[in-house]
Amino acid sequence: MGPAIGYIPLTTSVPGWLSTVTLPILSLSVAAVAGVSQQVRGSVIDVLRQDYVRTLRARGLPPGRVLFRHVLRNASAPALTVLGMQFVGLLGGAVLVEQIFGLPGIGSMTVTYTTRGDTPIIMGLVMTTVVCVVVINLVVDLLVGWLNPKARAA
Amino acid sequence: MSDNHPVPGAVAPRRAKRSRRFLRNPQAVISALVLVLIGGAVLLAPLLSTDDPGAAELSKAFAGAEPGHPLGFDSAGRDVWSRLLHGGRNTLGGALIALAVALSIGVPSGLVAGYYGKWFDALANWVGNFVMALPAMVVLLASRAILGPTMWVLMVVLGVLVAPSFFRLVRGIVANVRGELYVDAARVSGLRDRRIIARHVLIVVRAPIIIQTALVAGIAISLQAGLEFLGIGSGDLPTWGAMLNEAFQNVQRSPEFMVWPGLALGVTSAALVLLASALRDVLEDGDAKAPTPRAARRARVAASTTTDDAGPRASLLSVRDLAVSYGSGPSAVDVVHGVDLDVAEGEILGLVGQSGSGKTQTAFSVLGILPEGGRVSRGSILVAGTEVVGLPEKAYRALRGDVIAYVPQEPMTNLDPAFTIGSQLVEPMRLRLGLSRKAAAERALELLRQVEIADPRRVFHAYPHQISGGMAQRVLIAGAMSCDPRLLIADEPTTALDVTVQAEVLELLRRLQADRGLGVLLVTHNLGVVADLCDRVAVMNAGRIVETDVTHQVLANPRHPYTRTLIDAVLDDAPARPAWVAPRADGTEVPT
Repeated sequence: MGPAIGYIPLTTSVPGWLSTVTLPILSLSVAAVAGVSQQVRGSVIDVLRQDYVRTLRARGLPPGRVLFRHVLRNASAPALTVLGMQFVGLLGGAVLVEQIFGLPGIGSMTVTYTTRGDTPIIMGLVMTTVVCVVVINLVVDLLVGWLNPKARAA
Repeated sequence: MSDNHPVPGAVAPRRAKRSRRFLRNPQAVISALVLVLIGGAVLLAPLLSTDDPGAAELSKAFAGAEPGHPLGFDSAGRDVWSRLLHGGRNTLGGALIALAVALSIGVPSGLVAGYYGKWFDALANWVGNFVMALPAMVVLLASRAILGPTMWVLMVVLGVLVAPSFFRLVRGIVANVRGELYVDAARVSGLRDRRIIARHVLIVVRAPIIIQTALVAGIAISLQAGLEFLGIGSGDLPTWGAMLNEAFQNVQRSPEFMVWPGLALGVTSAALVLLASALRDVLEDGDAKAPTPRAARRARVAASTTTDDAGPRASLLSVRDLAVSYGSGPSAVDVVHGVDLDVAEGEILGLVGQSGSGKTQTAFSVLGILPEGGRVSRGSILVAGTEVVGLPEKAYRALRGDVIAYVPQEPMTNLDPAFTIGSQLVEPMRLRLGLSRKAAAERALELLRQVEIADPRRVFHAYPHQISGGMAQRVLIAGAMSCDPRLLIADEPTTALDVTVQAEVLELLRRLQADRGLGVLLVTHNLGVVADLCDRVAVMNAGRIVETDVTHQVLANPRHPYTRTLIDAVLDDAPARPAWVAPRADGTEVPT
């Protein structure tokens, strides 16, 4: 196990970088993993009840192929949307995680300048994160369009 | 609850059923109990602990438990038990403020936007999306820098930040309900909007709002604790987050102080989330269980108890004494009771009967694709000489596609919307016939030509939503033909189509059947289709075959009274109903 806190840049040492980011990433993503898997479960159940799944089975396709090729593709669009929305929450979590693990990031920067009351820098940070959120959600929308041709028309 | 009044009496059973379902759901009961315990302990804080949560006694710093101080003292010598209880008041109180703000902004605006739409909807939607794109934690930090370090003010800001989640939820549901016919009916009958919203709309959004409230409460608590943990809240106020912050500063010296506030936060949030998901099961979807194909397959195995008194068995499809039931044990319901059917090579058998007579269930059991919970509980099904009742899934699958094929009722919902028509046609052929991609594509184009699609190449590359219903049904017929089956099960193949398209599709089925010598089991409720297409007819009523014979025999000389009723219902030259005559007040009648 690496050091409990602190940060080693990727350019300094790759194993060092890995040892400083593994725990923060784990703690940040655990909740998101649960949320996404719950969403996928729900939409897989919905898709399994669709008529075309029955028709695919009636064509003699193996269950694994029906599940992974047809059901998962149709079920992943709502899960991706949830993932896009979770990104906002993850940014909030990053503030805490950076503080706990002593990582130099936007989150700990926000905390530092908040306690100093430096409004212009905080405005800039808010803008930066909002732009990130918008870009991520744009990527998600494009992916959903790729997965679900019907959404492209709408 | 009074049983004498008819109206509350009608509502009471459903409500009682919900509360019983709640009590029977252990996850709901336990998580609700935990929340009540925590809430009660926090409310009774002054009674449960006599110490002032702020009173510091430096000599006691880091001291262990002693009588009256069950959890010991923190780094400043303050009683941990007292701080935990009073801290909970502030933490949960803060979350309540955020919830109250979020509910009072999100729900009314969602109702108005969903019900009236128009400019308010567009504006509110835009604002909601904008607020949702703001990272709550960062905005809270920023507003702390501007508004000052008061936890209660920050909680109001948090309430505004999470309000869009209520707005979107309510708006979506209300917009759906708004389009329902019963709301139109209520408007037409002159009910005021306010009354419609109160009576018809609020009822629908109630359950989702309760669930969302539990989830948002969890989020509010964790965000609030996060702020306090960063040392951003009101400095001297005891909260669980602030306790975590103090404990974290001394984590090297005595890490055990992290435990109590961490536990309080973890248990509260977990109970809220678990309560929300249990409530979802109780309030919304009673049967949201994952389908378990394996269990269904195991249940489907039944002894084939065949009696051969129904005559010699046909070579292609022969069903004897078929019973289909749903559920298991004493609550099992039979929907098909002992059906006998035979389809010879090259023969079209019509299976007619009204909706709910068990026609489709019979068809599905031949294909082995009964919905979740259904199984063949008795009887024998021979498909091309193979007994399929109790046949292992893998062997059964080998029959689907190249021996039995299926044409469904509703063309548009039976094509996978995420794949092109071409790839859906090619996939089974590559798997079942072992064709190369190119050969399969050529064969698919040929099939599309055979089902009389004018521009096969365009349809091949189109997605299902880009073609019409009649075209989709042709594609499904092409798909059914793709692996050269011998038996076609067509479940009301024309019901969902326009009358002109119906005739074309029937003609197509007839031609394909004649060209390929197919045996067809045609499920329909349309006697015209039967007269037009079928060699023989089986008439089904309430899960039983009441009459089977050659088509003209059944149509001309029906033996069973039910068949007679069916035929009478469609007779073209039946006398028209006489004009309706309104009785007048004086007793005489005038034609209207």
